[in-house]
Amino acid sequence: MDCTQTRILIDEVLSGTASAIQQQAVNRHVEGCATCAGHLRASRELVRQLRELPVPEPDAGFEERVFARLDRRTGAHAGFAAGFATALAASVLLWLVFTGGFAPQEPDAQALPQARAELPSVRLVASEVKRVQLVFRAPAAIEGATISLELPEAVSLDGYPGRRSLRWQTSLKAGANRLSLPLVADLPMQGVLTARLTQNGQTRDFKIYLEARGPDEGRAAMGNV
Amino acid sequence: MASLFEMPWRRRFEALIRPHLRELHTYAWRLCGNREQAEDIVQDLVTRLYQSRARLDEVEKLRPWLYKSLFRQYLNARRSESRSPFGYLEGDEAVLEGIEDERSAPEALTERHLQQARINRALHTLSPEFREVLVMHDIEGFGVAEVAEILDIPVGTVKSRIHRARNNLRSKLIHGTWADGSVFDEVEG
Repeated sequence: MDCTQTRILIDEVLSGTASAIQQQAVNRHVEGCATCAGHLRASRELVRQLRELPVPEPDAGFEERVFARLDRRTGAHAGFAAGFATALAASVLLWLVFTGGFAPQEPDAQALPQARAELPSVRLVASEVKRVQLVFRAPAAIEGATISLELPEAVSLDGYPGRRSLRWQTSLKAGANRLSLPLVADLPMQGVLTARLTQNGQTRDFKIYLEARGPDEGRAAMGNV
Repeated sequence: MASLFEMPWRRRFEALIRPHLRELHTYAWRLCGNREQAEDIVQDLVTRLYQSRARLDEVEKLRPWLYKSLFRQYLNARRSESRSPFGYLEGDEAVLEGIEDERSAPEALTERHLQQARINRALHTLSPEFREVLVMHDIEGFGVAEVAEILDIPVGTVKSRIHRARNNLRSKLIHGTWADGSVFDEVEG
């Protein structure tokens, strides 16, 4: 058995799928091949380290948060999740220091096909919350930036029904700054969400094309679990 | 208001799902490398299972079934991401989440932590196909046949991917920016 065959079988040995005969063949080969013996040791060590990799645990309120959101999304257990102060909404509140501001602009209906073709798009299912993460990449830390959101008709942030304009001040760290938006469309719709970053009189717009389908149509498009 | 019919299902659903939530979150995090996205994926899965009235109490092996369902949810999220830069994050920036920055306080980190950070980052530079089999088999501990069932691919394909994924990962650790004298140096030469 050559080195190539041995190395394939080494992975079978480590996966526990090698037969006794294959195991013996590997043992015989590595006894006389220092390179493959090293490969076996390194592979075994790699698998051991993979099994010991730490992973951040969700916080203590994770399970409660999941079921509270489930109830809010589905309407089950009315009263159990009454109010919007779940951790999801709270995470948005951290950002929404100030709300109010500029008047929303109605999208030009004729411009929607062009927006659909040119802009990044996000598909929603009416009445279901979908979290969309906006990423603001800053080359350096920015103090005193203002972020404004314009939401299209029939779309709101979960917990802020009917509010289509939002503006707040914040600081950006250097690199990627993620803003999680729990979007919910009341009805099937098409429109454009605009996020505007303003700092020292300079502005930059991010636009996303949003399309919401009805619950049945939307779930069918997402496929069955 | 929940109907009387609704309440037993809701309670039964939670009783079945709750014991698996944390490991599902861990699994999702391993796949996507981002804690927040992992929570989104689990949340979307739970919501869909609930709304589809999935007969969880009739599933013979619930844990692998849930993993399979979560994997499909993850694929859906990945497809969404490919359509929009404003979707889920994946890649170097995301995988650094939850891992201490080795440049910020090197004296505070043990070699073991540094090596784990290297492996984590290398793992998330693998192609999704390779990362998925390593996460399921080498990290989560599913057998080759179970991985084949979850991914809906032949056992031989799983074995082949595991072999190539380990080689790929090892190569990244040796030749990539993460190598600085680890046990993996033994392979060279």
